[in-house]
Amino acid sequence: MSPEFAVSRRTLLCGLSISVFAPDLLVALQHTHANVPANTPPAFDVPTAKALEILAEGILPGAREARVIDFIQNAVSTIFKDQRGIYEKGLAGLTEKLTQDNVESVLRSIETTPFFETLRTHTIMGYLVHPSWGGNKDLVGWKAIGFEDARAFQPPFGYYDDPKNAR
Amino acid sequence: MPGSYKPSETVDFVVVGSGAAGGIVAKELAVAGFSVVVLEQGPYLKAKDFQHDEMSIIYLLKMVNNEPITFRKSAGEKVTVRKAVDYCRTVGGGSVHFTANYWRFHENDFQEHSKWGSVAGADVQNWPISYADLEPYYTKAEYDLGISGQAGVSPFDPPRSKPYPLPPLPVKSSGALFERGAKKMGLHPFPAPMAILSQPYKGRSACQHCGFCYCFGCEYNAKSSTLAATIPVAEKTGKCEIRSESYVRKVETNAAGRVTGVIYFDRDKKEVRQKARAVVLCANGAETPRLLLMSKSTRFPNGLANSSGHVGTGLMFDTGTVAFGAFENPLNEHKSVMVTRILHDYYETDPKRGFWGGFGLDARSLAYPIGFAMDGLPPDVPRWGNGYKHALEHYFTRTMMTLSHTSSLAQQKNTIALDPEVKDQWGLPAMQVTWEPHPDDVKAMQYSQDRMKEILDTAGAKKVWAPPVSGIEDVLPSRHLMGTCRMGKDPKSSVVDANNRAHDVPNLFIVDGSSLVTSGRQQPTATIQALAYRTADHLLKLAKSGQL
Repeated sequence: MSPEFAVSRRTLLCGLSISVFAPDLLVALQHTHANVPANTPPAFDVPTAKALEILAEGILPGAREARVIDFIQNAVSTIFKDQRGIYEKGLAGLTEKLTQDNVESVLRSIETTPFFETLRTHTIMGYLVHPSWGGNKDLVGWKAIGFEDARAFQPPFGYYDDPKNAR
Repeated sequence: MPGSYKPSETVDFVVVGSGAAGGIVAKELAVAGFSVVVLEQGPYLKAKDFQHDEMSIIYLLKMVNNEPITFRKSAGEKVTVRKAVDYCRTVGGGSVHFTANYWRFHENDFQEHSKWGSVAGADVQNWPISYADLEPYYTKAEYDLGISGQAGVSPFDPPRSKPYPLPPLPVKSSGALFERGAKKMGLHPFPAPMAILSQPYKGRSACQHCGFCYCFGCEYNAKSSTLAATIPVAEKTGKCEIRSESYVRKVETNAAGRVTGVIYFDRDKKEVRQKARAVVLCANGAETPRLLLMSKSTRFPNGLANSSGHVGTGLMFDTGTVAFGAFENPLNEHKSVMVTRILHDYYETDPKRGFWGGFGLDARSLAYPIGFAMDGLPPDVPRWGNGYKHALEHYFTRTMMTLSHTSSLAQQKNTIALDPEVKDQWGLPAMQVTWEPHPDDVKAMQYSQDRMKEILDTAGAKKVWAPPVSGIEDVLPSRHLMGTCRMGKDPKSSVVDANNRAHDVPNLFIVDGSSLVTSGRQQPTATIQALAYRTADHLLKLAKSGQL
């Protein structure tokens, strides 16, 4: 499933032509990610993004497949641009020494820093966010945890409200 | 066709706030033929605008207040900027985004002082009205708005003149498990009364169980908000204009001490004066006292309607705490409404428990996906790496929450005031909140958490956990904002009379959470709305007989 489909599927199911916060977002509709204005410059250059991808994958395996980095690149340019400084401070001296093989020990060494907390939060968001923000590509995050976004459900919703499991 | 008025026209009523109370008052007045302008801070969103976007609603605060608020625990402390109060800022107000628990207060909630006496450090008062006075209006609210529930199941329910207009919503796994555990303990769980339609009602569609109720607006108009249920009726009369993105900064008065209208900022931040024969404040338990304090004048030097000095005092908050349980099989709590079973066995004060007050419990889902991943897991699982990921995959569908709704004692030292330094983006004084729980409130929270853990254990949970009860951190930001302009017979100790008329100003009425004298066991919406219907009745009597 392409990202375009993920967005338009939601848009279509809601019977919506534009988003709630339309004034900011009219331009965004031509873009892959409906909540990300078109021409949003990525927050980080390619080597930095590569490092962030490695770190995010270490924090939450599956982050790479879910394109968490797309969410981060967009979010740190827009909604979370006030947090850019935390990234810059946290990444200083880190990018060069980081490899696929030492990511776990690097993460352990920064576990108590504001940078780690911020990156962890943004990684979780990028993994489980509505795909209109970038990230959660092909609903990878939602599928992994068992979340479904639908307009309607019918009972039984779970095991314990199913009359056949009553006791 | 909605009404349309010029600010220079003197309308019969200006209603400030279009939420749980304002949306009802406006409709009742407009249907009776009076001209009404409703001024609402937030935008006019409708069902078609409501989407399932956790980022916008939960993390970017797109539908709630987002202006600076200062907070301190007690008057001696320095304030910090902290979001201590959360309210929905859209046409329909809190009734748009609330969970939709719809509990009537019980008979004793109106006379707790007579029943249990005073409590050291607190200011417990009787209401000037009884449950019997309000009962017809609870019924009117339930039928006008559309409430789903089942009467006669809970032995603790107060008397009612009619059953609920709609049957309860289908039980979820959290409700089934809660019922299982509670019944084994000899308790009396029952179907939650909810302001959500279980069947089509008055041209609105039934709930489709999409799961986005809490903090979200309903895309089906199945949640019985005033946006869905009463405001369209008000607009249809042609007598009611809803003016959104209109932020009232002052209620104006004349030399005779009567209200003449309001001044507000429109969406372009331009000042507009709207004249009115009478004003009804329904701006919520935090913004109403703030507006009264901002409306001071030479005649009302301490703020409007504040000769008692009690505007803003006695603030009661949304006290309660949580416990989590994880089970063997999937519950899929992300589907359907938040709450399907509740319990009122611990509602009344019981001196044997060692604290004043009591609580109700509900069984519910926890959080949307991001919120769950941030805060929903047991404390002993890893915070990152493979262990974290596996925990997310295991627990998301298998976890439920129980939430307690505990009594909040009125204390005069807990206040809404104007911050002397911090301003909002309109240049108005920021809201200053001073609040800490009474020691008995914290005891009630702890006791309730212990009971919730027992229920989850007894229901067969594989794992039960709960954050330590801390008091303030359990409560902030509060969404239930109560008691700051309370009702009373005595103008020296209360702000409005038994009919919600300001003691000091004959054509000013106040009805919202600020009117409440006691907190019940949280879930103030039904009581706020019953008071709104009752106030409207009284206003109509006065207006029709020329007594306004």
